[in-house]
Amino acid sequence: MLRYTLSRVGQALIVILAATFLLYFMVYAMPGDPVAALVGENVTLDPATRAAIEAKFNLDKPFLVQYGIYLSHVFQGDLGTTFAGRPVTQIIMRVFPNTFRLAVLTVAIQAIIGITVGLIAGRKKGTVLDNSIMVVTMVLIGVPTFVSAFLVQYFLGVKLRWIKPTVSAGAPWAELIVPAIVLALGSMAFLIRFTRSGISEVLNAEHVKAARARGLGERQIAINHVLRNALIPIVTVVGTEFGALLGGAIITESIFNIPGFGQQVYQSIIRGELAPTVSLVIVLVVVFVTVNLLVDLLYAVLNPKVRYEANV
Amino acid sequence: MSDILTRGLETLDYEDLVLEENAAEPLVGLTLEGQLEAYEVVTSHSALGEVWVRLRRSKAFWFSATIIAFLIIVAAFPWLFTNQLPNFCELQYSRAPMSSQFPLGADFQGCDILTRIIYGTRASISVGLLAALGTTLLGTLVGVVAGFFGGVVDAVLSRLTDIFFAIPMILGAIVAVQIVARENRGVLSLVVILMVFGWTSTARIARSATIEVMTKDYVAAARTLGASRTRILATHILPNIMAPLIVVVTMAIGGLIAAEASLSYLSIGLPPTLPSWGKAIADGQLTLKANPGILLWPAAALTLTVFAFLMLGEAVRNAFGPQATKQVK
Repeated sequence: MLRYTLSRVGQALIVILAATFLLYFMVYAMPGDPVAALVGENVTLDPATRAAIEAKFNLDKPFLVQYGIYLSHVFQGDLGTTFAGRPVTQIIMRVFPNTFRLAVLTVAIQAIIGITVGLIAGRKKGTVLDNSIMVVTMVLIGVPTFVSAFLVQYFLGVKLRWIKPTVSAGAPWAELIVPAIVLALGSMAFLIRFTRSGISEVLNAEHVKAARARGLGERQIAINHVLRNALIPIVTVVGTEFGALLGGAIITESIFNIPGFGQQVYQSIIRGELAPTVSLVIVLVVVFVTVNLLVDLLYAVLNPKVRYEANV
Repeated sequence: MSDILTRGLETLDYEDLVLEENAAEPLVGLTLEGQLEAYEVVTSHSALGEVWVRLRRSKAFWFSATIIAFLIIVAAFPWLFTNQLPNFCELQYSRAPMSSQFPLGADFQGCDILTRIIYGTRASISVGLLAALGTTLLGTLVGVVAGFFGGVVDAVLSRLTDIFFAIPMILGAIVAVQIVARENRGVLSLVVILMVFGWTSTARIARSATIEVMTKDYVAAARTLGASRTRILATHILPNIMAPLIVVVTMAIGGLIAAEASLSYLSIGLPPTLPSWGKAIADGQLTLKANPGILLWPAAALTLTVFAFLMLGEAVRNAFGPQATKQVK
């Protein structure tokens, strides 16, 4: 397991480095004059000022060196500043707890509801209940996050007044539940479908028939024999869907006015602040890769075969 | 009991008659219609013919195909459905209620909401279809090359796939749109951006399907007979990985349409001059309390479209059967 863990951590580090390089490359290797972007298109600079600006922002150095400098800044916790002069790191520290709460709630909701409903549908496959669950999941996948967010905001917040249309300052846990449900819907539907097909596959497996032949109760079979095996692919879905969650958070947070990571990304897009946007996206990519690394490790815990094959 | 039945029937080579996802369902106990379908499946002599037999009996297929056909006609000939122009807006009609002149009311700028929705269909459908085609072609190319050549090629391409997979599509598009397409935003640049960040799952599916086909006896036989690599690729590999790829491409369209709308909603998708549902929804949020229709109508159009494509993908997947599409989740 140690060997497997080390090799997966190494791979994840390489992927993070390469992905940040890709994003950085996209931003800084494109045609265009960054100095003109800084001082304005119509300003004519004397060569000395231009050289000074280029030296200050390391624009006179080769691209790879620029990337190296950027990386070393990142490792020192410096992700650049916004137009208003605030360090991006400071903003991240402020908004991170809010997004963290939202993400925890979202993953919990999608895992609990997704797996439970999927388990029910998988065991009752082909019944009216199962078919209706399938139709509902397709509708949930079909409604884009920003549409469902507005529908919920309008009907629950404005019409029925059950919730506040926007989250109040500080984003307390209780007020994040509805936005988390909205954010969870799409991935939850995927999880239901995945669990359902996983369960019905495992239900027909030999070891389940053997357990039934030994006279074990249905509940015991479902939990000990079926769920553990079906969980293996489900865990992966939670990981890959985390990417959709990060994208969805940008929309959900700006609609419900949650002062989080996604809202920051949205605002820096609107303000046209490129550097903070890229830094924030890079942080989100690192989070995404880390979550998937954890998922892979969990996968190996659940499935001894993976560990074994990795060591051979 | 049913178990013994299944087993007995399987040995009798009734496997071809198994219809639904669950491979444990024998011919016995089927309705007359089901038996008829099974008969037609067995007597159709090509793989695609078999799929078509199942597809044309699926209600979900006809339902979604009708909606999609209608949407494509609207996208191609929007002027048949409205006599107004999408950019003909007069501020005096701002937020006008439903009337004979404005069947769904007018938006904040005084444009007819229905006309904007009708012209917005073109953006959604063309971005969705082109991006799905693009991601599938790129993903298939990478996946097949990786799976077919193996070794170093596979290692390099697989790592490349991992790297692009690490950047979620919306996040990558946010950065890319701002840089590459700040000047000339349009359908084509958006399609390319969605393609660049959307091909990885297709590549993974194509790769695992290719690797699986490579282990088949007929590939070994062809190799023994001295068939060239190109020939094996063209006549054995590609036709046999088509099923999962067709399913992937149909299922991807809905997601890509939603992605376009999300980006346009975030004001970094299509240019403001082009009518788009995502943009209309973003405009509608300003007056959501007083005039929910400005937001809700385009949202309904978007949801219906995404739903229709998802349903089509689902129907196609069921028609291909579980064996052919097990790589597609």
